[in-house]
Formats: sequence, C-alpha cells, structure tokens
Amino acid sequence: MKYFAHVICFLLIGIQTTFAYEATEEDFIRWENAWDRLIPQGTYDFVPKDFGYELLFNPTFQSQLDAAGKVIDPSLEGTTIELAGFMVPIEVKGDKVSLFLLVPEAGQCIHVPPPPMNQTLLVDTTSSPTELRDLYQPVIVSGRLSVVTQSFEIADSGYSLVDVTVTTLDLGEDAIPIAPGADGDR
Amino acid sequence: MIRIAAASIRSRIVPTILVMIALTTSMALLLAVDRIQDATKRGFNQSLSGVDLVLGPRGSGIELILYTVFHLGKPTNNITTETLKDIESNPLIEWAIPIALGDSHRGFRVISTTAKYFDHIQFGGDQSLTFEAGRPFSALNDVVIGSAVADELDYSVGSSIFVTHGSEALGKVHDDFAFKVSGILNPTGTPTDQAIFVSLEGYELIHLGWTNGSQAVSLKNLDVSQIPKERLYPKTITAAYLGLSSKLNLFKVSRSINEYAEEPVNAVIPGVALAELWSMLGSIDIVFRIFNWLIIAISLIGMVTMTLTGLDSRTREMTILRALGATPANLASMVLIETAIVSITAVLLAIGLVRLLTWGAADFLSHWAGVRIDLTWINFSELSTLMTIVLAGLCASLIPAVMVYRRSLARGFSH
Repeated sequence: MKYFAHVICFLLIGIQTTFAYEATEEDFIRWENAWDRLIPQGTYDFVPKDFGYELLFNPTFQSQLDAAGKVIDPSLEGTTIELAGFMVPIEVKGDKVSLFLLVPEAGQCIHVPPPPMNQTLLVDTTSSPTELRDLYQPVIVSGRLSVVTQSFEIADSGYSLVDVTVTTLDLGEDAIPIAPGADGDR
Repeated sequence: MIRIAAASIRSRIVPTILVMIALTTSMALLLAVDRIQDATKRGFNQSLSGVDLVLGPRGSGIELILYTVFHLGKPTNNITTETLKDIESNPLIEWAIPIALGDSHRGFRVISTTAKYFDHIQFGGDQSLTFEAGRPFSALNDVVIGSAVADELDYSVGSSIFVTHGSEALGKVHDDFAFKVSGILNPTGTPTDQAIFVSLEGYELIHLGWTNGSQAVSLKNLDVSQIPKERLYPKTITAAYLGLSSKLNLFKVSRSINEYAEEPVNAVIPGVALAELWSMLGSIDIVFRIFNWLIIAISLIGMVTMTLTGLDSRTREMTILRALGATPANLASMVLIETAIVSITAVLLAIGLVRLLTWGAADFLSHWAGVRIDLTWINFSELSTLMTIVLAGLCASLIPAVMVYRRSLARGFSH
C-alpha cells in the first residue's frame, strides 16, 4: 500500500511541476561550484590553515567572517551562470513573480538567518514573470550576472541576474547524492 | 420474492452496477474522510505527553507546536539560552529540555537536545521512550535515531552520519564532522520515529565555522576534543519543553513566562494549541461533510431514477407476475427489495473500500507527519450512518414502489 501514497505524491508533484528538470549528481556538483564562484578567490585567506579552537570563539574573527560574506567579485559582471536554489518572492502580481531573491537554502530570509550578501542574488523576471513557487521548491535559474549591491528589508543581495530562465527542479528521493565517506559507512 | 428480485436485478446488471459504484464510492468517501480525520486527531494528540509547556519565541502557538513536535514548517525565530536559564530558575518548573532545530539528514529532521530528553518525553499517554539498541548520546559525535530512520536508511549502532545544513536536500553537508549512531529508539508511532537526536554541543560544534547560514571555516584540521564542553553550549535554541512539579500551576507559570520582559517568549500548552488547530480546521470539516452528503443524495437519486425509467419497460413483466398470482403489494415490495439488495451490497463494498483507503492514508500520514493511525473495519456510529443511508434509499424507492402498486391495480389485465 506504500505504492498508493507514492502514486498520490507522484501525481501531486506531477501536477505542480509540469516542466520539472530531474537532476543528476554532476548537476549538484556544478551548482555547488557555481555558488562558490560568487565568492571571490582568496576571500577566506585570513583563516589560518592550522588553528586552535579558541579562534572560533574570537569576536574579531567572527566579525572578519561576517565581513567576508559581503565581499563580491566585480569581474563576474556580464558572465552567465546557472544556479539551483530557492525563491524568496519580492514582487508578486497574482500568481506571477517579477522580482525575487535566489538563496542557496530553503526558507532563508523568512526564517533566521539570511544568507551572506555574496550568496544572495536579485533575480529580475519583469520581462517574463515566472510562476510563484513554494518556498521549499528548488528552482534552477540561469542568466546574466550583474554586480550590484541592493538592500532589502529581509536581506542584502550582492549580485543581480537578468535575462533569466527559471526551471523547477525535481528532487526525487534518489536524486540526492550520498556524501562520500559517511552516510551509513561503518 | 427475494429470488425474483435478485433475478430482476441480474437482468438489468449494467445500470445496477453503475448505480452501485456511485453509492459505494460516495459512502466510502464519507467514512474515509471522517475516519482519517479522527485518526489524525488522535495521532497528533498522542504524539507528545509528559510535556506541560512548550517555550518558544513569541508568535503563534499552533505554529510552535507544529514545528517542534511534528516537524512541520520551520521556526521563524530563536530564543536565547540565557532566557531559558532565567525561566528555568522558577521553582515551579521541575525540568526543562532545550531543543534546537534546523538541520536534517537525508530528509529526516535533526533535533539537538540534551540526554534528559529520553527520560522526560513520553508518547501515547504515559509510555516512555525506550532503546531498541544502544544508549543515549554522551559523546560529542553520538546520535540517537528513531526506528523509521534506522529501517529506511538501514542504519545500525556504529553507522556514521553526516548532517545536512537546513532541512532541504540542496543544503550543504556538514562533511567536516561525522556523527556515529549510538542508539536506536523503539518504534512509537509518533514523529520521534522519523527524528535524529544529537547533543546541543555536537550541533553547536558543526555550526562553529558558519556565519549567516553558510560555511566559512572547516573543522577538518581541528582537534575538537580539546574544546571544553561548556564553551559549546549554544547561545540560542529553537524552543524548550518544560515539565512542572504540579499541573495546578500550569496557567500561573505560562502567564509568568508570557510576561517575561527581557525577551519576547511565550509558553504554549500543547493540548490547547492542538485544540485551537482543530477548531480552526472545523469549518473546512463542515464544507467537506456537506459535499459528501450531496454526493450521496445524488447517488440515491440516480438509483431511484434507474428504477423509475425501468418501470415502463417492465410493464409486460409485471403483467405476467400478476397473472401468476402476485398481488399489487407483492410487486411493490419486489421493487423495495431490489433497492435494499443494491444499497446493502453497496454498504458492504464501501466498508471494504474504506479499509483500503485508510490503509493507504495511514502510510502517507506516517511518512508526512509521523502519525500512525489504527485500522478498523467498522464502528457503531459508522454503521448507523450507513444504515441511515440505506433507509433513505428505501424511502426514496417508495416512489417507484407506489407507482408500481397503483399502476398494476388500475391497469389490471387491460394491457
């Protein structure tokens, strides 16, 4: 009877995500690297290779970390990028979103805390508003980067994306890659 | 007489079956909705006991209970452990168990708490949590897993686990610190089965190198055993379960917490929050029920229509029966018996179908909210509902029955 529930879930997902994309393990690696690209190389060079635990409790070090989250990479201006993340709608008209923040994790901004500035993108879909999705529904967004800092009540964004296409990402249970080295290893 | 009625049904088998399907599904729908609702309520109400108050950030009590106890939704705010310490110092509070939420492992929620959790938290009235294997966590990298987690991921004591940041699959994995399963809980039929428990200190440790929800520093090159445990005690937590020495002080304590000035916190009585939730859902309930009864009424009308339209083509049959000595009353009761056979068969089929539906729903519910529902065939109130429907069907068939009676009296052998 497990199948019954599965069939229902499947139908619900099927209805909700008509044009969903099913991700492969390579996709996950690619997206993770894309998020990392938004952080300029060497931003975290101030973190020593070997350090004692005391450093982690050091307030100066903590504020250095906070500052590192605000460093953006101007050389990314005009490059195209594809990222998978979650939508935090800012401008909604009916069931269409014309402006939203793309964040790497579901529920960020709405639930504490907001992501660092260099991991928050303002996505402009004014020309072709995309449909409003669930806060927990991952989406794939690709477009052209522009390095602009903007402040919103909920978070600050370090980049914006224009000429974007938004696709719903279908995350089947089996699609989640298993972390090597653990996850059930004895 | 029953034999004749049965034979008459057999000769009109296709329309009869269609009407029966309509009746069966509408009745099954009515019962299934009722039953799943009842069972969900019971399951939710039984999921947490032993806890008198849930302490959390100020906001909706229902939401607080949903994300702490049932792992539905996410916390919007945290409370500081300083506040908890302050509140805990109230002599009326016997124990306090802090919990911090946010991370997950392959779709299962990670709850960070203290080992006292396993002593004080109960379920299904007054049953305590027991270990199927292993023991509660004590070391920094120990985790305790619920029975469903162990079953589904095929983990046993000693398996290692990486925790994923956030509750979604796309979250970054805390792959710089591996946990090891130290214990597996016995099945409870509550959300506990779907949970992974770690110590507050272990949870704090994996977030040490993090700022604003993203990782900046890896723990890989760090000797974590050097960190004094008290430094890992978190500054903020999601909520705390409170137990009072006497339930008589429940409202006194909750009021004093709600008036706490230093931080906006509130204390929620789990039962009260759930009762609020049910009353909120009550109006949806009524709409559901109205629709259900409408569907049943339509099915019954369908049954009567079928009998009525059948009457014209059955004139010859009626005449022959009269010739064989059947009285008009006999013919009328034959029509009634036909209806009775159809509706009672539909009732029996509906009971079977409901069983099937609740079986499927039980599986779904236990996955979705960790709530287990009981499977039964039929209870008294359901039986009386079904009997009401059968009686309504019989009453409605009085129309064709009376028509048969009057026609056969009036026409006699003239046809």
